[in-house]
Amino acid sequence: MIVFCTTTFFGTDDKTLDELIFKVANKDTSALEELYRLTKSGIYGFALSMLKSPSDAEDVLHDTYLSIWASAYMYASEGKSMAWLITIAKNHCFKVFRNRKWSEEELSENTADEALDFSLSADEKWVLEEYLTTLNDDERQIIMLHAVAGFKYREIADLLNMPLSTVLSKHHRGLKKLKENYKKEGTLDE
Amino acid sequence: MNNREIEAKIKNAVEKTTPDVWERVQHDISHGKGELITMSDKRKKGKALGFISSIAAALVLVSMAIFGITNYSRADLKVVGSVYLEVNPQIELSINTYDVVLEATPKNEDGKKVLGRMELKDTQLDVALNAILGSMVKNGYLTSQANSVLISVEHQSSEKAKQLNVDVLKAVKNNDFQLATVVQTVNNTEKLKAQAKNLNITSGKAEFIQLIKEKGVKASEEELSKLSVHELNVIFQSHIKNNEIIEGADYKGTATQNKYIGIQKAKEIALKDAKVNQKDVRDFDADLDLEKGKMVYEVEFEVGNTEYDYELDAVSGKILFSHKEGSKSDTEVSSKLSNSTSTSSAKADAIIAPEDALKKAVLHATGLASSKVADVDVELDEERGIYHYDVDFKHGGYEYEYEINAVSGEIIKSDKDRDD
Repeated sequence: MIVFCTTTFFGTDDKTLDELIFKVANKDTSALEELYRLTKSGIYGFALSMLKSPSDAEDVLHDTYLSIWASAYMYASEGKSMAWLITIAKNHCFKVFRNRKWSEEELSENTADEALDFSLSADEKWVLEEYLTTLNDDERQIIMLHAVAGFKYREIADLLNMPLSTVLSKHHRGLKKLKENYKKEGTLDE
Repeated sequence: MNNREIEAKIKNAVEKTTPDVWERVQHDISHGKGELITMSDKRKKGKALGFISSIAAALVLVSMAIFGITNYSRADLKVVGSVYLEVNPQIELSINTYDVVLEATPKNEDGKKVLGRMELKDTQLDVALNAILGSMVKNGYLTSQANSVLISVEHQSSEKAKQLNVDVLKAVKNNDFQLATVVQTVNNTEKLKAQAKNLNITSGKAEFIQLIKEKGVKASEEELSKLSVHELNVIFQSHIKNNEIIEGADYKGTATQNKYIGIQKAKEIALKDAKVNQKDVRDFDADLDLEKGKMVYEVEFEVGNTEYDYELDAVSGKILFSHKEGSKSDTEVSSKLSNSTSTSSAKADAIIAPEDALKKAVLHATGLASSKVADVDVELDEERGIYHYDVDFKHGGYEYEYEINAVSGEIIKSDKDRDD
């Protein structure tokens, strides 16, 4: 089996995304839909990595595409479209953090379970749960950006404003934690 | 499981569980929720409605006169939101659904002075805003040295609040000098009120401090609460990148920093102290923070294998702290990376994609495309500060193991073994 963490975003390059965003700027709904289909997992995954709550991540996913629709005309970072999209999502996540801080309700601890879909294999379920519960914030974000949004390490370093070597070591450390725990308790459908 | 398999599983799991919100998005944009209506567009609507409602009001008056009706309600009289201005003077404007001011309330002594005998009831919000700002300039609360205004917007509907946010920012006009305006949406919950009360500041300022903290400012909420709106804005602006979209807050204008030496001067002082050349400097970053109640520039940069950290008094430029770190730090590794490549440009620490490392190894081993081999595993590793990919795969009854330099792509080691 050859599966890769692709360097293009879901098999789409930045140029395609650039073109779509320009069309969205001209209020082309079908371009927005295509952009949504191509990037939604990356955006959702990133929101999930920050917020650890599937329902909050879902709201951010929705709000992010509304913001893209409203502000695509301001888009000027050609070639860095995914980073631009992720930055919009990130700022929505910060808004959620602010609301959480002032909100009267406590965030439920049992967040990982919500994410578990019946369509997942036992291993996928285990990995996702472990990912959400044992990794720290940086490790979660870096792994998600690399594995799902398809960012290169250098791009992650730019986006998170960290030295490249820090990104690499955190990425490495995060995956190592998952591997070690897997050896201890995993082995479900291998 | 290896790294690649774990990442693939995370990817699959996320892709399978990503909810489909397209219908909601489509519904919302077709109902104009993603649109930003300009103030002038709305003014036209407001005027038309205003005209109609004044006829309605006349009719009501007539009917009241005839039938003696004493209580009535109209959308025009209902407060649906508020706009809270804070410089040092604080003034709250309550507005109705047409953005007409129903009441202007001073919230402190300075606010009273600014409002004076101004009558703002029944004026359009943008007119009222600029009248107040004008009076703040006239009374010396806003100057070219301290030109920041914090405006907090609250509205019954969160959608309307977003729109109001944008409208208010657009409405603010410059006076004799440019104003630096931050407009934020505030949801004044009990918790926020408690935090504000605790710090002895307004809810708007408490929210703004929260926003600043998110941008990576290290100073505590207590320390920040003692700063003026202008000082907070200066810190805020030193932490945001150009055109960055911040959810719930819009901003424009540059907060003047005449009091401080400025980032350029801070850079000069730090480089001179480190005895390094501007052209050798990489990853330069400088922003304002608060250290023991004092404004400081935090300056960071790298030269060769060394990472420098400086802290400068933002007013005098005096070096308060300096630190130099060489070997074994994370940053040192990345500079080694760039040194190991033939080009020594600042961008040389880019790592090649795992696919490219695989392509190289497979081509070297078999002369084939990478899709032709089985049981592929590519992992990034580091030894003695040099990053490389361990590439394993099987083909034609053999097991191959390669080590590929992760920067230059050169083959460091290759091994071929019978696959039993």
